[in-house]
Amino acid sequence: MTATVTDQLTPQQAGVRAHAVLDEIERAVVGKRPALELVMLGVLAGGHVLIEDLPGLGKTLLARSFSTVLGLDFRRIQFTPDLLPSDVTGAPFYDQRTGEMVFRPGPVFANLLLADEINRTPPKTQAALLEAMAEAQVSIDGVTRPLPKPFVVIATNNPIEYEGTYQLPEAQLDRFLLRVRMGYLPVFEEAAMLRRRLDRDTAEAELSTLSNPGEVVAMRDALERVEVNDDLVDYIIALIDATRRHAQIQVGASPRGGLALVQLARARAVMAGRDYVIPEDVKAVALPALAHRVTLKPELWVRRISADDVIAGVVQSVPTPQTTPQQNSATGPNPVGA
Amino acid sequence: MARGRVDPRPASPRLGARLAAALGAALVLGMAAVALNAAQGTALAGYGPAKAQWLLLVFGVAIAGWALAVRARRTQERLPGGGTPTQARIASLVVPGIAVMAAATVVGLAVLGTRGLQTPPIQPPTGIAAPSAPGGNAQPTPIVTSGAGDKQSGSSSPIDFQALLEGFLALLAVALLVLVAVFLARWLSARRRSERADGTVDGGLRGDGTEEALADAVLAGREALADDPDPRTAIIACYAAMERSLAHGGISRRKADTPTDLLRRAAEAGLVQGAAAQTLTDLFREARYSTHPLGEAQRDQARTALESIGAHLARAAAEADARFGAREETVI
Repeated sequence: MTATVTDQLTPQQAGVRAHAVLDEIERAVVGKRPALELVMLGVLAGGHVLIEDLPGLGKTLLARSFSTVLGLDFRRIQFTPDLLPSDVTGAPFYDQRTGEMVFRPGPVFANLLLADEINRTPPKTQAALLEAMAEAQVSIDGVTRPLPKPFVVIATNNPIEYEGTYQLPEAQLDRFLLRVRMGYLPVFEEAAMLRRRLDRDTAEAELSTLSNPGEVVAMRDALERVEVNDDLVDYIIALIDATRRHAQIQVGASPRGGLALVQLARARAVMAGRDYVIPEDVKAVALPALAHRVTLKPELWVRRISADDVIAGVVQSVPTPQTTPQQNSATGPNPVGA
Repeated sequence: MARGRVDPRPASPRLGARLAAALGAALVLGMAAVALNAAQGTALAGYGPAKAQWLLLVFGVAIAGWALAVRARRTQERLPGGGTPTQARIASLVVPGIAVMAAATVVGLAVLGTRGLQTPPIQPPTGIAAPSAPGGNAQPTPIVTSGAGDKQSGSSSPIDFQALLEGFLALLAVALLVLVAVFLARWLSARRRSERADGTVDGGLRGDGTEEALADAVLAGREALADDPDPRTAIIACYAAMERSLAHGGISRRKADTPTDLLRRAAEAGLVQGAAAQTLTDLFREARYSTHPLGEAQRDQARTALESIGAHLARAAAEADARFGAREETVI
């Protein structure tokens, strides 16, 4: 892991680099550009990503490709029912030569951690990881150890199995900045993927490293130079408030949901080479940022209405900012710290 | 002004349509019951004239049920975001409900149709027992037939039900045909009107002064660009003018629309073409949501874009006028 000092990046420069990274990753993860872009938004916005989909859709490949191309230190934890918190965070052990207790860091001490099938482990171990995610540090034996920067968790969650799984509680789901669904490839792209595999001698495309941890941090810093108009802040608040008032939602989005929306919208603006957020940015990230944060009323489960449907309805019903700015906020764009 | 003519009677036609549908359903049910002889075993026992055509009726009911279900599904899909929770709850029951009703009717008709055929009326044995004349063997047959004839005429009332039923059915068929024709005509005209209101057909422009409104909007944008000393407010005013002119062309901004959504709908309706509208939208977003200093170059870009949009809208209006002008009068 070599963290090189990188100069400050403008949002436009950060956007160009992010697209170059995505282009390289797309050589390995074929036909999933929208999902890749969402994960990139999560990385840029400084959050953690939950990928929820069926097995075999390339979740692990996606995480590994990101770590390779971004030049991040990569670890993977396969979550199992017998995994202990110390298996994640690390534990002190007795060094016979020195006669002292020495801390052995766990896999969580990495830049990019793939938490595979996070719902297969009991809540105790899940909590250990989620605490590390929220605080970016681990406290063991009274000593707090910071995690390396950047620290990104890409967790996968298999939505179809119920036996032997421990569903993440809503409070813990809230710690993921966004949830991504990958979905199946269209038939013609799946055929192209198979042909590409046949034409290639290796099992996977070999990707080149285009970035490093220092540059990823600089790209994240570029987000701070993206401005958010006051009307858009009001729009974001209106969206969050609508989830709390919606008749089909039992528990609406938390304030953390609002912050996620702001940061993801800024990240999307960076990806588009802009240094200002537009309503399209907010609308585009509302579903991945909010759908996993709300709890629907129990009766909706019977009717097969998902949180995605409800949030999509909310997005279609909350008014976007007016064309002409309001008089009192005409000169209002100001950066929003998250 | 275009809106005023689009939905002149919001509530009453729906009530009328519901009443007509209920009446139609009652008529069809009555006809089916009479035709299939649902009253078998009662005082009005006898075979209905459509007894042999029960399969045809089954097909008819199945097709009608399917058509209703398709229509209900389309209406649901048109609700933005699934509608309110109550609407969504009702909507989720409509299609299964119609399907169950259609299936129940089909099964009921099939049962009525097949059961009657399996149990034909049994001849009374007295007719066979009667012939005992030693003279000839040819005698029994006429006695049997005459016996059956007696029974038919004896069981029915003096009124000729067969003729009455046929007349009634003929009247019903005519009434149904008229009803279907009226519904079809109303549906077609409503569809045409809604398409025009949505602006999804061919420009969707009307020849009733829209050109003046368009010209006004473009002029307003031009004036804003020329007069306003601040390019930012000038560009916003210019975009607002484009938005107004699109609204006159039938594509108005919905409350949850972003500039991109509006642009997409306008492009789908053929109101805007090329890069001009996209350029103006981009400039507007930059002017509206950023604090960049905007210069005269951007103002000029906006001016060029507005001229191009105005020219296209005027051309589309003229074409639409030429195409729809005559039909417009009949719609009113």
